[in-house]
Amino acid sequence: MKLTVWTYEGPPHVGAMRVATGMTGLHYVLHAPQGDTYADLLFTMIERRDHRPPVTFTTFQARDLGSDTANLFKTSCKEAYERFKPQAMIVGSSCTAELIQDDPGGLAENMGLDVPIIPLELPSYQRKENFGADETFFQIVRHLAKPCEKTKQISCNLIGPTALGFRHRDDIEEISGLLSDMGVSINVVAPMGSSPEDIQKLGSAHFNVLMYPETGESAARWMERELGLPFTKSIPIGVGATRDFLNEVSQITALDAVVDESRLRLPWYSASVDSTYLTGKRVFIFGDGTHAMAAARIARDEMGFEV
Amino acid sequence: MPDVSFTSCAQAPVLKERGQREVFCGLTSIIWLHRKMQDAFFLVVGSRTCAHLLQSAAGVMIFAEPRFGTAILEETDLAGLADAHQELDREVDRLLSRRPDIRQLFLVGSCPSEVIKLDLSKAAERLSQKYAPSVRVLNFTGSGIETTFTQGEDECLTAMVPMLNESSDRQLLVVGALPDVVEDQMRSLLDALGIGPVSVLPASSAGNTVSVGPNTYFAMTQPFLGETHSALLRRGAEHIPAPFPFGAEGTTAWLRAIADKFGVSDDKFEGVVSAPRARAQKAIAQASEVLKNKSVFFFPDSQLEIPLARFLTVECGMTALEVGTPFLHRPLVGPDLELMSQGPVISEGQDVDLQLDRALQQRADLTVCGLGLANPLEAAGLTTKWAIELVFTPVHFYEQAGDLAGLFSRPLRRRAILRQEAAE
Repeated sequence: MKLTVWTYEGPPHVGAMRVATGMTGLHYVLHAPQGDTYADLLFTMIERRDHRPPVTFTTFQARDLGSDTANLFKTSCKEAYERFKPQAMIVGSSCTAELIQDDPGGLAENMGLDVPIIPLELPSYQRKENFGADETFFQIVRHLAKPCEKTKQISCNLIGPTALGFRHRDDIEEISGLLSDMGVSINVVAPMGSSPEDIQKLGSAHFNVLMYPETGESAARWMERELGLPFTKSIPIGVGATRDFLNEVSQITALDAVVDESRLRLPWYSASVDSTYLTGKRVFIFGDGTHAMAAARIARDEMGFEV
Repeated sequence: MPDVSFTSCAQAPVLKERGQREVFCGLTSIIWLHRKMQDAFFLVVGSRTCAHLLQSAAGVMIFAEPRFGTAILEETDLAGLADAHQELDREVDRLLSRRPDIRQLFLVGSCPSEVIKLDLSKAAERLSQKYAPSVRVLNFTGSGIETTFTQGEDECLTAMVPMLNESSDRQLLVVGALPDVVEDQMRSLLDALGIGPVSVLPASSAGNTVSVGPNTYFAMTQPFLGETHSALLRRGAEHIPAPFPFGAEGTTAWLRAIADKFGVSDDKFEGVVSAPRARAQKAIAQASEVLKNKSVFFFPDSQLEIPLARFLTVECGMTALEVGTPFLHRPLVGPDLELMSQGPVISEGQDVDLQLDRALQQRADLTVCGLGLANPLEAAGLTTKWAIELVFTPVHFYEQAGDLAGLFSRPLRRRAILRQEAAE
């Protein structure tokens, strides 16, 4: 038992919701008690989405525990399938449902629904939100992606952006632009904006750009192994890291690294005399691993802070 | 003269639904309870989900250490309950030695702690003995399997009732957590009517002794305190049923019911309420200009729905299409139902998909709903009011009546003033 006064990272099923909400044509049936629906408002309010997350909560109550929560799950699953007609469904438990051990995966698989059912095992008492997102996306890819013919033009997938991510939409736009300058087109962006059908053709790309290891690394590793897709290891946040990233793309694709730096303002900002006052200023960095590491490099090497 | 053709909502059939419920669990009540009770700490024994809910629902900005937290259960706690109790004692020990300002500690049960049957009442008893007399340890449930949203306050107050001192004095107990400014206004109205002594549950500190007994009359300021109501009856107190004190008429009826019990004369009553009532009426008239003849649809959220629908239909000229509530406690909301004329669907419980179908088909001028639904409904072209704001904003009694109407009219006024088309 550990006292927590505040927490920014949620439980693993919230990570699964970030994947599901980023995607289209996918539905998540979550075995969870009444109240866990609070997570909807992370997306509809904090992210200001105009649609509800594609998540059905069984919202069981104490009186259900004595009777049949497994049946409640099956009914919810059937109704969600009929109402939302998804191309694929993911099913799993929140922390409380994990304790009652109804096995949503097994129940859903035996219902004879004619869409792929992807069961999720997300240990709520050991892991957190990012693990949930990474594992969910990995399971979706593992169940749906198949080897397929490569695109004629060199293309890549952007892997890792989810709903409720930190500036994921802007990052996608920026990276797509950089790659397009080099002559690389985008095959699929996933999970954000992709459907289960899109996931099936991840294999037609020539390589993967892993944007956020927190949410996409397991899937990227699996695709490297099973679909022969290499993935980039540098995260293009910051001037140096973006140059490293473009060089890495160049090595993978044998294309020249085209770097249009006409819109780049950071080096001049740091060099200009007004920025002298930043010299040696101490800075503390909080964030997920990817962003904290990128910010540390920018702060130290590109702005002259003391990290 | 009573209108003989008037049929109230009290006789209306109730649509009962079961299915996915888009509501908070009772833990959310901690957000306002910890502000009200200034020497209390609320320790949720639960999972990371509970901690995340409190963080996201509270939108907690950490400037000072808040007086609530979550003891997060881990794999080892699930394996052995004996260990879980030891772990809990250790965490409480650490907490109380670090926070000498804490006089009341609430152990709050959650879905996981209840499913594994971790007995918090035993823990509270044990810890109470250990820390008496400096800290009082109580427990209540805020779990989603037992409670929705405002029921957390109900459970908390219910846990406090057996601890109240016994008294046979004739007195008034007002029940329900109100913002301090509203509580002060209420006290001064009751004072002016010569009603007293008056105490309020929950009190702002543990030292503030509230008592109860056979000569205690109690009035509720919140409609979601059904269990507390029963617990007070068991202590021998007598309930004064009344419409809830929203708007000019609600407040007048609430005060009138109490004044009758305490033998306040009509003249005196009129003398005290006429000025604030007139102010409230004027403020409502102004703020409800845009509400008149508009329709409203309530999704279930806080159990405030019925009294608020009464206010909007009777005092602001709106028509209710559906009034959804998580639970319908007739002993408490009966007087409000009696004032509303039959017409709206009164629904209890929820199947959110079916209810959304109805809301989207009826397209009320104003839809009152939780934050999980508001933006999607706005995107579908409906005008919405966030229900949660009604719980966190001072809305009771005369001086807030105009603001209360304003909360509902603002979304409509906003829609009318936004001009996003290109200028010609």
